[in-house]
Amino acid sequence: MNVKFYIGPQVGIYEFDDVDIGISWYENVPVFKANMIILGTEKVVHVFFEDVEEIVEDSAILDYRGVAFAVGTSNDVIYPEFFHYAKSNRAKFVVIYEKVEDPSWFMYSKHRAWVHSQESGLYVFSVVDFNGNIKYGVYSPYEFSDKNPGIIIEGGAPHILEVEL
Amino acid sequence: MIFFRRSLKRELSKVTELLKVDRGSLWREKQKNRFRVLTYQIEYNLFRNPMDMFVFLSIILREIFRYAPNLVVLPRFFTNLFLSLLPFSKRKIRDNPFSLVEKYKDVIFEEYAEILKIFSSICISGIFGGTLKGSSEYAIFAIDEEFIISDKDVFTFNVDDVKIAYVKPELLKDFKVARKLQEAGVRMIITGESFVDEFNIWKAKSGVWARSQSVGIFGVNSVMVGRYFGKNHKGISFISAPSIFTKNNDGFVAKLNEPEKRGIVVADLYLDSLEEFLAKQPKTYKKYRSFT
Repeated sequence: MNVKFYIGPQVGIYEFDDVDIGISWYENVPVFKANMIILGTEKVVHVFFEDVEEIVEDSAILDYRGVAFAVGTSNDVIYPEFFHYAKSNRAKFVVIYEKVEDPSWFMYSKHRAWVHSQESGLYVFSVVDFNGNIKYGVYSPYEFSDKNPGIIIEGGAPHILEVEL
Repeated sequence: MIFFRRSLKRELSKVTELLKVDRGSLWREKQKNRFRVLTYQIEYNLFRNPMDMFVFLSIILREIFRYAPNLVVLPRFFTNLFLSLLPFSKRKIRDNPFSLVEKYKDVIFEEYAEILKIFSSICISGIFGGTLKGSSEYAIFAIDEEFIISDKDVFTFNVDDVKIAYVKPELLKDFKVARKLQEAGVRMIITGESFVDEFNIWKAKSGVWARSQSVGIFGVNSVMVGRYFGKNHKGISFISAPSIFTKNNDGFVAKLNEPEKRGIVVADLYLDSLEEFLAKQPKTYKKYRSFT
Protein backbone atom coordinates (compact mmCIF):
# COMPACT_ATOMS: atom_id res chain seq x y z
CA MET A 1 0.00 0.00 0.00
CA ASN A 2 1.37 3.42 -0.99
CA VAL A 3 0.90 6.14 1.59
CA LYS A 4 1.55 9.79 0.87
CA PHE A 5 2.95 11.76 3.81
CA TYR A 6 3.23 15.44 4.43
CA ILE A 7 5.60 16.47 7.20
CA GLY A 8 6.03 20.12 7.97
CA PRO A 9 4.36 23.18 9.43
CA GLN A 10 0.62 23.78 9.08
CA VAL A 11 0.78 26.37 6.34
CA GLY A 12 -0.09 26.44 2.67
CA ILE A 13 -1.44 22.95 2.79
CA TYR A 14 -4.65 23.40 0.75
CA GLU A 15 -2.85 22.52 -2.47
CA PHE A 16 -2.11 19.04 -1.18
CA ASP A 17 -5.57 17.60 -0.74
CA ASP A 18 -4.52 14.11 -1.70
CA VAL A 19 -2.12 13.66 1.20
CA ASP A 20 -2.91 10.57 3.28
CA ILE A 21 -1.17 11.51 6.49
CA GLY A 22 -0.10 14.96 7.63
CA ILE A 23 2.40 15.22 10.46
CA SER A 24 3.11 18.43 12.31
CA TRP A 25 3.79 20.02 15.70
CA TYR A 26 0.65 20.89 17.64
CA GLU A 27 0.22 24.65 17.44
CA ASN A 28 -3.52 25.08 17.00
CA VAL A 29 -6.50 23.18 15.63
CA PRO A 30 -5.63 21.51 12.32
CA VAL A 31 -5.99 23.44 9.09
CA PHE A 32 -4.83 20.44 7.03
CA LYS A 33 -6.88 18.60 4.49
CA ALA A 34 -5.03 15.33 4.84
CA ASN A 35 -7.00 12.15 5.48
CA MET A 36 -5.29 11.64 8.81
CA ILE A 37 -3.66 14.40 10.79
CA ILE A 38 -1.12 13.76 13.49
CA LEU A 39 -0.24 16.72 15.69
CA GLY A 40 1.77 16.44 18.84
CA THR A 41 3.99 17.94 21.48
CA GLU A 42 6.63 16.37 23.69
CA LYS A 43 3.87 15.20 26.06
CA VAL A 44 0.75 14.44 24.07
CA VAL A 45 -0.24 13.51 20.51
CA HIS A 46 -3.57 14.32 18.85
CA VAL A 47 -4.63 12.14 15.95
CA PHE A 48 -7.53 13.32 13.78
CA PHE A 49 -9.09 10.74 11.46
CA GLU A 50 -12.58 10.79 9.95
CA ASP A 51 -13.87 13.46 12.34
CA VAL A 52 -12.64 11.56 15.39
CA GLU A 53 -9.92 12.98 17.60
CA GLU A 54 -7.79 10.57 19.57
CA ILE A 55 -5.49 11.86 22.29
CA VAL A 56 -2.41 9.81 23.08
CA GLU A 57 -0.21 10.35 26.11
CA ASP A 58 3.25 8.78 26.03
CA SER A 59 2.75 6.25 23.24
CA ALA A 60 0.25 4.11 21.36
CA ILE A 61 -0.19 1.81 18.40
CA LEU A 62 -2.77 3.16 15.95
CA ASP A 63 -4.15 2.21 12.57
CA TYR A 64 -4.52 3.97 9.26
CA ARG A 65 -6.70 1.95 6.85
CA GLY A 66 -5.12 -1.35 7.83
CA VAL A 67 -1.57 -0.02 8.29
CA ALA A 68 -0.48 -0.09 11.92
CA PHE A 69 1.83 2.65 13.16
CA ALA A 70 3.15 3.94 16.46
CA VAL A 71 3.24 7.40 17.97
CA GLY A 72 5.44 8.28 20.89
CA THR A 73 6.65 11.20 22.96
CA SER A 74 9.84 12.26 24.70
CA ASN A 75 10.52 9.79 27.47
CA ASP A 76 9.53 6.70 25.52
CA VAL A 77 11.13 7.42 22.16
CA ILE A 78 14.67 7.77 23.45
CA TYR A 79 14.89 4.01 23.91
CA PRO A 80 15.19 1.26 21.30
CA GLU A 81 12.74 -0.88 23.28
CA PHE A 82 9.88 1.39 22.18
CA PHE A 83 10.70 0.80 18.50
CA HIS A 84 10.96 -2.94 19.11
CA TYR A 85 7.55 -2.79 20.78
CA ALA A 86 6.17 -0.97 17.73
CA LYS A 87 7.68 -3.53 15.39
CA SER A 88 6.34 -6.45 17.38
CA ASN A 89 2.88 -4.86 17.04
CA ARG A 90 3.35 -4.90 13.26
CA ALA A 91 3.76 -1.15 12.98
CA LYS A 92 5.12 0.04 9.63
CA PHE A 93 6.25 3.48 10.74
CA VAL A 94 6.71 5.49 13.89
CA VAL A 95 5.98 9.17 14.55
CA ILE A 96 7.98 10.67 17.41
CA TYR A 97 7.80 14.02 19.18
CA GLU A 98 10.58 15.49 21.29
CA LYS A 99 11.58 18.81 22.80
CA VAL A 100 15.23 19.73 23.31
CA GLU A 101 17.04 22.92 24.24
CA ASP A 102 20.72 22.10 24.03
CA PRO A 103 22.25 21.90 20.50
CA SER A 104 24.23 18.78 21.40
CA TRP A 105 21.08 17.08 22.68
CA PHE A 106 19.37 18.03 19.42
CA MET A 107 22.13 16.23 17.50
CA TYR A 108 21.84 13.31 19.90
CA SER A 109 18.10 13.02 19.27
CA LYS A 110 18.76 12.92 15.51
CA HIS A 111 21.41 10.23 15.92
CA ARG A 112 19.06 8.17 18.05
CA ALA A 113 16.21 8.45 15.54
CA TRP A 114 18.53 7.23 12.79
CA VAL A 115 19.81 4.35 14.93
CA HIS A 116 16.32 3.26 15.93
CA SER A 117 15.21 3.28 12.31
CA GLN A 118 18.16 1.11 11.27
CA GLU A 119 17.77 -1.48 13.98
CA SER A 120 13.98 -1.74 13.86
CA GLY A 121 13.70 -1.50 10.07
CA LEU A 122 10.86 1.05 10.41
CA TYR A 123 10.35 4.47 8.89
CA VAL A 124 10.75 7.07 11.62
CA PHE A 125 9.10 10.50 11.31
CA SER A 126 10.63 12.78 13.86
CA VAL A 127 9.29 16.18 14.93
CA VAL A 128 11.52 18.05 17.36
CA ASP A 129 10.98 21.38 19.05
CA PHE A 130 14.46 22.82 19.24
CA ASN A 131 14.27 26.07 21.19
CA GLY A 132 11.02 27.05 19.47
CA ASN A 133 12.16 26.01 15.97
CA ILE A 134 10.38 22.91 14.79
CA LYS A 135 12.71 20.51 13.00
CA TYR A 136 11.55 17.56 10.93
CA GLY A 137 13.33 14.37 10.06
CA VAL A 138 12.43 11.22 8.15
CA TYR A 139 14.70 8.21 8.59
CA SER A 140 14.49 4.87 6.88
CA PRO A 141 16.49 1.65 6.81
CA TYR A 142 19.47 2.66 4.71
CA GLU A 143 18.64 0.42 1.73
CA PHE A 144 15.46 2.48 1.15
CA SER A 145 17.22 5.83 0.89
CA ASP A 146 19.06 7.43 -2.00
CA LYS A 147 22.81 6.62 -1.77
CA ASN A 148 22.09 4.65 1.42
CA PRO A 149 22.54 7.08 4.29
CA GLY A 150 19.20 6.15 5.86
CA ILE A 151 18.20 9.83 6.00
CA ILE A 152 15.39 10.98 3.73
CA ILE A 153 14.97 14.53 5.03
CA GLU A 154 16.26 16.62 7.88
CA GLY A 155 15.61 20.27 8.62
CA GLY A 156 12.87 22.84 9.00
CA ALA A 157 11.34 22.71 5.54
CA PRO A 158 8.07 20.91 4.73
CA HIS A 159 8.29 17.73 2.71
CA ILE A 160 5.98 15.40 0.86
CA LEU A 161 6.94 11.81 0.23
CA GLU A 162 5.22 8.66 -0.90
CA VAL A 163 6.21 5.45 0.77
CA GLU A 164 5.29 1.86 0.01
CA LEU A 165 4.41 0.18 3.29
CA MET B 1 60.94 -19.80 18.24
CA ILE B 2 63.40 -19.93 21.13
CA PHE B 3 65.58 -17.42 19.33
CA PHE B 4 62.62 -15.15 18.93
CA ARG B 5 61.64 -15.35 22.58
CA ARG B 6 65.19 -14.72 23.82
CA SER B 7 65.74 -11.76 21.55
CA LEU B 8 62.34 -10.35 22.44
CA LYS B 9 63.05 -10.55 26.16
CA ARG B 10 66.49 -9.01 25.71
CA GLU B 11 65.17 -6.11 23.67
CA LEU B 12 62.19 -5.51 25.89
CA SER B 13 64.33 -5.47 29.01
CA LYS B 14 66.31 -2.64 27.40
CA VAL B 15 63.09 -0.79 26.64
CA THR B 16 61.86 -1.34 30.19
CA GLU B 17 65.07 0.13 31.59
CA LEU B 18 64.68 3.19 29.40
CA LEU B 19 61.06 3.61 30.31
CA LYS B 20 61.63 3.46 34.04
CA VAL B 21 62.82 7.07 33.91
CA ASP B 22 59.51 8.31 32.54
CA ARG B 23 57.25 5.88 34.27
CA GLY B 24 56.61 7.98 37.36
CA SER B 25 55.41 11.01 35.44
CA LEU B 26 53.30 8.88 33.15
CA TRP B 27 51.56 7.16 36.01
CA ARG B 28 50.96 10.46 37.78
CA GLU B 29 49.34 11.70 34.62
CA LYS B 30 46.78 8.92 34.89
CA GLN B 31 43.98 10.73 36.61
CA LYS B 32 41.45 8.67 38.46
CA ASN B 33 38.48 9.94 36.53
CA ARG B 34 39.89 9.47 33.05
CA PHE B 35 40.31 6.20 31.28
CA ARG B 36 42.65 6.32 28.30
CA VAL B 37 41.98 3.80 25.57
CA LEU B 38 44.23 3.15 22.64
CA THR B 39 43.58 1.02 19.62
CA TYR B 40 45.80 0.16 16.74
CA GLN B 41 44.55 -0.40 13.21
CA ILE B 42 47.01 -2.51 11.27
CA GLU B 43 47.33 -3.96 7.82
CA TYR B 44 47.44 -7.72 7.64
CA ASN B 45 50.87 -8.95 6.78
CA LEU B 46 52.33 -12.42 7.08
CA PHE B 47 55.84 -11.92 8.35
CA ARG B 48 58.69 -13.70 6.65
CA ASN B 49 60.28 -14.76 9.91
CA PRO B 50 59.89 -14.29 13.67
CA MET B 51 62.44 -11.48 13.69
CA ASP B 52 60.28 -9.33 11.39
CA MET B 53 57.37 -9.98 13.69
CA PHE B 54 59.44 -8.97 16.66
CA VAL B 55 60.52 -5.70 15.02
CA PHE B 56 56.90 -4.96 14.25
CA LEU B 57 55.82 -5.64 17.84
CA SER B 58 58.64 -3.48 19.19
CA ILE B 59 57.46 -0.59 17.04
CA ILE B 60 53.90 -1.05 18.31
CA LEU B 61 55.10 -1.22 21.90
CA ARG B 62 57.12 1.96 21.65
CA GLU B 63 54.28 3.85 20.00
CA ILE B 64 51.76 2.61 22.53
CA PHE B 65 53.95 3.42 25.48
CA ARG B 66 54.12 7.12 24.66
CA TYR B 67 50.42 7.46 25.43
CA ALA B 68 50.39 5.61 28.80
CA PRO B 69 46.94 4.12 28.19
CA ASN B 70 44.81 2.26 30.70
CA LEU B 71 43.69 -0.15 28.03
CA VAL B 72 45.18 -1.18 24.73
CA VAL B 73 42.89 -2.84 22.22
CA LEU B 74 44.49 -4.82 19.44
CA PRO B 75 42.39 -5.68 16.38
CA ARG B 76 40.14 -8.65 15.91
CA PHE B 77 42.09 -11.56 14.34
CA PHE B 78 45.36 -9.88 15.38
CA THR B 79 46.61 -13.13 16.89
CA ASN B 80 46.36 -14.87 13.53
CA LEU B 81 49.48 -12.90 12.62
CA PHE B 82 51.35 -15.22 14.97
CA LEU B 83 51.04 -17.97 12.38
CA SER B 84 54.19 -16.35 11.01
CA LEU B 85 56.03 -17.87 13.94
CA LEU B 86 55.32 -21.38 12.72
CA PRO B 87 57.94 -22.96 10.49
CA PHE B 88 55.73 -23.18 7.40
CA SER B 89 55.75 -21.41 4.09
CA LYS B 90 53.58 -18.34 3.62
CA ARG B 91 51.57 -20.19 1.03
CA LYS B 92 50.73 -23.04 3.36
CA ILE B 93 49.68 -20.61 6.05
CA ARG B 94 47.57 -18.64 3.60
CA ASP B 95 45.85 -21.76 2.27
CA ASN B 96 45.07 -23.41 5.64
CA PRO B 97 44.87 -20.66 8.25
CA PHE B 98 42.14 -22.22 10.38
CA SER B 99 43.37 -25.82 10.42
CA LEU B 100 46.87 -24.62 11.35
CA VAL B 101 45.43 -22.53 14.14
CA GLU B 102 43.56 -25.52 15.56
CA LYS B 103 46.66 -27.67 15.38
CA TYR B 104 49.10 -25.18 16.84
CA LYS B 105 46.97 -22.87 18.96
CA ASP B 106 48.65 -23.97 22.19
CA VAL B 107 52.04 -22.95 20.81
CA ILE B 108 50.66 -19.61 19.64
CA PHE B 109 49.01 -18.94 23.00
CA GLU B 110 52.21 -19.81 24.83
CA GLU B 111 54.24 -17.37 22.76
CA TYR B 112 51.60 -14.69 22.86
CA ALA B 113 51.20 -15.02 26.63
CA GLU B 114 54.92 -14.28 27.02
CA ILE B 115 54.66 -11.16 24.92
CA LEU B 116 51.45 -9.85 26.46
CA LYS B 117 52.78 -10.39 29.98
CA ILE B 118 55.83 -8.32 29.13
CA PHE B 119 53.63 -5.65 27.56
CA SER B 120 51.26 -5.40 30.51
CA SER B 121 54.04 -5.51 33.11
CA ILE B 122 55.73 -2.43 31.69
CA CYS B 123 53.12 0.25 31.83
CA ILE B 124 49.69 -0.64 30.60
CA SER B 125 46.89 -1.76 32.90
CA GLY B 126 45.20 -4.07 30.46
CA ILE B 127 45.61 -5.33 26.96
CA PHE B 128 42.90 -6.81 24.84
CA GLY B 129 45.08 -8.89 22.60
CA GLY B 130 42.71 -9.33 19.69
CA THR B 131 41.24 -12.66 18.73
CA LEU B 132 42.50 -15.85 17.15
CA LYS B 133 40.27 -17.43 14.54
CA GLY B 134 40.34 -21.16 14.14
CA SER B 135 37.31 -23.45 14.12
CA SER B 136 35.99 -21.01 16.73
CA GLU B 137 37.16 -17.54 17.73
CA TYR B 138 39.30 -17.09 20.84
CA ALA B 139 39.42 -13.70 22.56
CA ILE B 140 42.65 -13.01 24.43
CA PHE B 141 43.21 -10.62 27.26
CA ALA B 142 46.04 -9.81 29.66
CA ILE B 143 45.88 -7.80 32.88
CA ASP B 144 48.61 -7.54 35.50
CA GLU B 145 50.57 -10.33 33.88
CA GLU B 146 47.57 -12.63 33.91
CA PHE B 147 46.67 -14.18 30.55
CA ILE B 148 43.05 -15.09 29.82
CA ILE B 149 41.58 -16.88 26.81
CA SER B 150 37.88 -17.17 26.06
CA ASP B 151 35.97 -18.71 23.18
CA LYS B 152 32.64 -17.18 24.20
CA ASP B 153 30.73 -14.73 22.00
CA VAL B 154 30.60 -12.26 24.89
CA PHE B 155 33.53 -11.97 27.26
CA THR B 156 33.66 -9.51 30.17
CA PHE B 157 36.62 -8.32 32.24
CA ASN B 158 37.65 -5.43 34.50
CA VAL B 159 40.40 -2.89 33.99
CA ASP B 160 40.97 -0.21 36.65
CA ASP B 161 37.45 -0.82 38.02
CA VAL B 162 35.85 -0.34 34.62
CA LYS B 163 33.78 -3.26 33.40
CA ILE B 164 34.48 -4.01 29.75
CA ALA B 165 33.06 -6.56 27.34
CA TYR B 166 34.28 -8.04 24.10
CA VAL B 167 31.30 -8.79 21.86
CA LYS B 168 31.31 -10.31 18.39
CA PRO B 169 30.12 -7.76 15.82
CA GLU B 170 27.20 -9.97 14.73
CA LEU B 171 25.64 -9.56 18.19
CA LEU B 172 25.76 -5.77 18.03
CA LYS B 173 23.33 -5.40 15.16
CA ASP B 174 20.55 -4.72 17.64
CA PHE B 175 20.38 -3.39 21.18
CA LYS B 176 19.51 -6.54 23.13
CA VAL B 177 22.98 -7.79 24.06
CA ALA B 178 24.26 -4.25 24.62
CA ARG B 179 21.32 -3.45 26.91
CA LYS B 180 21.91 -6.56 29.04
CA LEU B 181 25.58 -5.70 29.36
CA GLN B 182 24.86 -2.08 30.21
CA GLU B 183 22.44 -3.15 32.95
CA ALA B 184 25.09 -5.53 34.28
CA GLY B 185 27.45 -2.57 34.73
CA VAL B 186 29.50 -2.83 31.53
CA ARG B 187 30.55 0.64 30.36
CA MET B 188 32.62 -0.22 27.32
CA ILE B 189 32.13 -2.66 24.48
CA ILE B 190 35.01 -3.82 22.31
CA THR B 191 34.39 -5.25 18.90
CA GLY B 192 36.06 -5.46 15.50
CA GLU B 193 33.69 -5.05 12.60
CA SER B 194 35.27 -4.96 9.17
CA PHE B 195 33.64 -5.07 5.75
CA VAL B 196 34.49 -7.27 2.83
CA ASP B 197 35.29 -5.44 -0.41
CA GLU B 198 32.98 -2.45 -0.01
CA PHE B 199 33.24 0.02 2.86
CA ASN B 200 30.30 2.24 3.70
CA ILE B 201 30.43 4.64 6.64
CA TRP B 202 26.69 4.28 7.23
CA LYS B 203 26.99 0.51 7.57
CA ALA B 204 30.02 0.97 9.82
CA LYS B 205 27.88 3.19 12.06
CA SER B 206 25.20 0.54 12.49
CA GLY B 207 27.38 -1.57 14.82
CA VAL B 208 28.92 -0.47 18.08
CA TRP B 209 28.53 3.24 17.19
CA ALA B 210 24.76 2.77 17.05
CA ARG B 211 24.79 0.94 20.40
CA SER B 212 26.67 3.85 21.93
CA GLN B 213 23.81 6.13 20.92
CA SER B 214 20.87 3.88 21.74
CA VAL B 215 22.06 2.29 24.98
CA GLY B 216 24.55 4.88 26.27
CA ILE B 217 27.86 3.08 26.38
CA PHE B 218 31.42 3.59 25.14
CA GLY B 219 32.41 1.51 22.14
CA VAL B 220 35.73 0.51 20.61
CA ASN B 221 35.93 -0.85 17.09
CA SER B 222 39.35 -2.20 16.25
CA VAL B 223 39.92 -3.75 12.86
CA MET B 224 42.67 -5.32 10.85
CA VAL B 225 42.54 -4.30 7.20
CA GLY B 226 43.98 -5.93 4.13
CA ARG B 227 43.60 -9.27 2.44
CA TYR B 228 43.20 -12.21 4.81
CA PHE B 229 41.08 -15.37 5.03
CA GLY B 230 40.74 -15.07 1.25
CA LYS B 231 38.89 -11.76 1.34
CA ASN B 232 39.75 -8.09 1.17
CA HIS B 233 38.81 -6.47 4.47
CA LYS B 234 38.13 -2.77 4.94
CA GLY B 235 36.98 -0.82 7.93
CA ILE B 236 37.77 1.99 10.31
CA SER B 237 38.89 1.79 13.90
CA PHE B 238 37.14 4.20 16.20
CA ILE B 239 36.10 4.93 19.75
CA SER B 240 32.46 5.91 20.07
CA ALA B 241 30.33 7.46 22.80
CA PRO B 242 26.84 8.99 23.10
CA SER B 243 27.16 11.99 20.81
CA ILE B 244 26.68 14.54 23.60
CA PHE B 245 30.11 13.50 24.92
CA THR B 246 31.90 13.99 21.64
CA LYS B 247 33.58 17.07 20.34
CA ASN B 248 31.67 17.53 17.09
CA ASN B 249 28.53 15.80 18.33
CA ASP B 250 29.17 13.09 15.77
CA GLY B 251 29.36 10.20 18.23
CA PHE B 252 33.06 9.54 17.55
CA VAL B 253 35.48 10.37 20.33
CA ALA B 254 38.31 9.45 17.98
CA LYS B 255 38.45 7.68 14.65
CA LEU B 256 40.58 6.96 11.63
CA ASN B 257 39.39 8.35 8.35
CA GLU B 258 41.16 5.92 6.03
CA PRO B 259 39.42 2.56 5.72
CA GLU B 260 42.47 0.80 4.31
CA LYS B 261 45.41 2.18 6.23
CA ARG B 262 47.31 1.63 9.43
CA GLY B 263 46.88 4.08 12.29
CA ILE B 264 46.52 4.70 15.97
CA VAL B 265 43.38 5.89 17.78
CA VAL B 266 43.59 7.26 21.32
CA ALA B 267 40.91 8.78 23.51
CA ASP B 268 40.39 9.81 27.11
CA LEU B 269 37.02 8.62 28.36
CA TYR B 270 35.36 10.09 31.42
CA LEU B 271 33.40 7.38 33.13
CA ASP B 272 31.95 9.67 35.79
CA SER B 273 30.17 11.74 33.13
CA LEU B 274 28.68 8.60 31.61
CA GLU B 275 27.46 7.36 34.99
CA GLU B 276 25.87 10.75 35.64
CA PHE B 277 24.22 10.70 32.21
CA LEU B 278 22.86 7.18 32.71
CA ALA B 279 21.54 8.00 36.18
CA LYS B 280 19.57 10.98 34.81
CA GLN B 281 17.90 9.03 32.00
CA PRO B 282 14.26 8.10 32.71
CA LYS B 283 13.96 4.32 32.72
CA THR B 284 10.75 4.29 30.67
CA TYR B 285 12.09 1.48 28.49
CA LYS B 286 11.31 -1.03 31.24
CA LYS B 287 7.59 -1.00 30.41
CA TYR B 288 8.39 -2.31 26.92
CA ARG B 289 10.72 -5.01 28.18
CA SER B 290 8.22 -7.84 27.71
CA PHE B 291 8.34 -7.25 23.95
CA THR B 292 12.11 -7.60 23.63
